[in-house]
Amino acid sequence: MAEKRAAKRPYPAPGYHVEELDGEILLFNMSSQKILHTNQTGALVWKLCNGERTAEEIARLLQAAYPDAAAQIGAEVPLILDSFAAEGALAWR
Amino acid sequence: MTTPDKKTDQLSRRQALKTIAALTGATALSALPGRWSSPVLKTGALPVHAQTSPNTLVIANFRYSTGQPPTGEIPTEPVTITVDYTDSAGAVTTGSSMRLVIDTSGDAAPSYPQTIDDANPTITGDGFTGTVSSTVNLELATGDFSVTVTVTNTNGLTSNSLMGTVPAQ
Repeated sequence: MAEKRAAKRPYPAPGYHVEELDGEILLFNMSSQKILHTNQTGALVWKLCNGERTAEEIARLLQAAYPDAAAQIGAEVPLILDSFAAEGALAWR
Repeated sequence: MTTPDKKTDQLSRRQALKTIAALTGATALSALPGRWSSPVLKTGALPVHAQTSPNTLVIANFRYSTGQPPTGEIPTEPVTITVDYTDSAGAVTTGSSMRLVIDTSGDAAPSYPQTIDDANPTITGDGFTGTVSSTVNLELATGDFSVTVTVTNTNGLTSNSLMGTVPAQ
């Protein structure tokens, strides 16, 4: 699933109210009464999702910024994107 | 000593960090995580009081009216308690309830306090503003009654408590 989505462009799903605190993010969805919390790196991934960059491009950019963790990022970015999408917080185009 | 490849990597990394900072709205590179850690996503449900924003149910303007006392072994007096409500959710409609906690220091004190839950109070208005009323029977000539009122709307939200006095008749 993650590999198939590498070329797709994730973007924030509507309906979420975003609050940022110390680099971490809280996402509130009033209609589903759901709250999501992600740490600093999850927040970075979230913010890079603008519907223009592919999931692969997001991972590459982060790998360039954190080369020591390149392999880890390559594995984790698709997972966190899928997690956001599974919670309805991200959509794909 | 820095090798050319290492220098290229550093420039590339700096450029990537600057790009990320610009894209994510970070005001400085120092605002970005210094090192990568596994992204974590936790989920939960909004607490009830935060499920609509804002969500307030306020009652005010306690008042009462008395009815015709019935005759009987223990004389009582029907008293209708009325309050005004303001509900941001517009949920004070059929299915809302009114709670009255009645107390007295008069002759009937041993029988009190009493809690009366009216599951079908008289409601006027549009759900956002209006009045809620409930009629209870109070024993006569026992001294003043204190009545503490709360209203719960159809979302389960309970109002502030409002206290009023019904004088002895």
